[in-house]
Amino acid sequence: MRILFFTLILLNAFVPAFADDSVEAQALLQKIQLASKKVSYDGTFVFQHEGQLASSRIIHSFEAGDEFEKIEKLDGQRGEYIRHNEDITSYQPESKTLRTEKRQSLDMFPAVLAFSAPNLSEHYQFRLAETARVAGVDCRMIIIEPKDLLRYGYRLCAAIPGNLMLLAQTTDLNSRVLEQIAFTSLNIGHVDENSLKTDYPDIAEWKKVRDAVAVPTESGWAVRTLPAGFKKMREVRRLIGTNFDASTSRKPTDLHEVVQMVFSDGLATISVFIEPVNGERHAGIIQKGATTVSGFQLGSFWVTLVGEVPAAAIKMVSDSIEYKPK
Amino acid sequence: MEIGKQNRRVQEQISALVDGECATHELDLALSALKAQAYTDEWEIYHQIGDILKSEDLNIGLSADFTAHLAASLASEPVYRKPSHHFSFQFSPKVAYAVAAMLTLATILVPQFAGHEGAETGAPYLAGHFVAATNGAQVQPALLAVAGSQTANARTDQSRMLRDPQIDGYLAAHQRYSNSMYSAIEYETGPISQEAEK
Repeated sequence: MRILFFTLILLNAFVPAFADDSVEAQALLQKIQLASKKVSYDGTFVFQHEGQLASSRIIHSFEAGDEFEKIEKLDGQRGEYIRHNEDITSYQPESKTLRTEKRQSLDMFPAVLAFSAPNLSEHYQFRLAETARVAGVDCRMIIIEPKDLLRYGYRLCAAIPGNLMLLAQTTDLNSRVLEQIAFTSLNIGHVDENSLKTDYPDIAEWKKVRDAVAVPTESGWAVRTLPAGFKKMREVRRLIGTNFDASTSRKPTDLHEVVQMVFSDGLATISVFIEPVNGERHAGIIQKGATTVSGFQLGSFWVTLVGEVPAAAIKMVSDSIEYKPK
Repeated sequence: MEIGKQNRRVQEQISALVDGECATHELDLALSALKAQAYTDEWEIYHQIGDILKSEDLNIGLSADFTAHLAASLASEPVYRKPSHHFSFQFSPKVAYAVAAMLTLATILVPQFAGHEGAETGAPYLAGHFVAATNGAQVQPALLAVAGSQTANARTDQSRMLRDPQIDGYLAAHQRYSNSMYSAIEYETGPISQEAEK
């Protein structure tokens, strides 16, 4: 009787608290999203992935509704990226190339909002953890754990106050960090306008290129069984080419057209690329950090899958690709 | 007399070479003698002797231009080169790391907060809209027309797939839409379709 009593008290104490936590954590995610846009800051961050480390300086400003951002690579070849709202310009001084494009990642999923908010908590457990400290700034840790084996978990830390995200980690099923990105130094507040200007004003002699475009399409390809919660975000035709290092020509020699379907559960994304078989390719599945890549032949087509999901999810998708024209 | 001695020494060395017993320090002499064509008869005779010692059945004379034929076939063999040093799956430090971060910081939770449109106002056919709904008429993929009876040997070989430089292109294309940590990591190197106006 006594035990039951205590159990009831415990349940009363924790169950609602847990539920509140989830709501609060998800609300915090939205605040993080907002902060990334509206907070001005100047800092250095590192990105760690499979034993590799890369650091960059980022300066971000939000003035009168306009977003400006400058990112400078601090390791290896020089490079600079400047963004004004959705217009991206990247400077590659070593190859004297100026590249312009429209930002695609953000604001890319107009159809998502309808399902993301309620559905996320069906597939992930949200939790607020203890306060931590990153780059000298106190932050609130949010732990996002998957409810099945078909996606990874995340640990994010949001600055107190301000909610700027200071740390993001992708974790596997054993809570092992697969990759992470974190500020190592940070000043939040007003930034000097001049610091947002390019270091390469003299570009008269530079080669100017524009990013390859993706054209919406409806190819007739479909995925029969997706991991729960994943929805099709886009389907496009685009050109794919191989990359080269800066010392050689910048124009890919083997550009070819593929159909790309993009699926997301709101946090993780899976791309399915389909193209006619052309030459010998090597089928297989590889995993690096949080990214899984798989390639295989399907009839007279070659299928490539890329996603920040465990191999099980990639396999599930590969096994259910079919051509079903309406 | 000296020449005869030298001659015998070279012959011994060629014989040793045929038997795989030529000492390292004598190898140069034996090979240069063979190269000079003066001892090619010895080379063939010693091989023939060796063959006959192994088996009577091997006592067959080679056609006169056998060597020339073999050399010609070897020369026409395709040369297989090692894949380039570019290791596709190592996210080498690029501008994009930076981009990555910003996109991480900004978009890891995109869908949570999506709602802006017009990100692609520069490209009318992109229009920032969900495609399937707007494309009423069915568009046959250009792919299908091209897809002939081409076949390929798809071999499962992880290490070779790893080196497939094409993977980079797919990663880049994926990261354009993904809210992963290195979204847009390939801003520097992704496909370029058109040169901008000067």
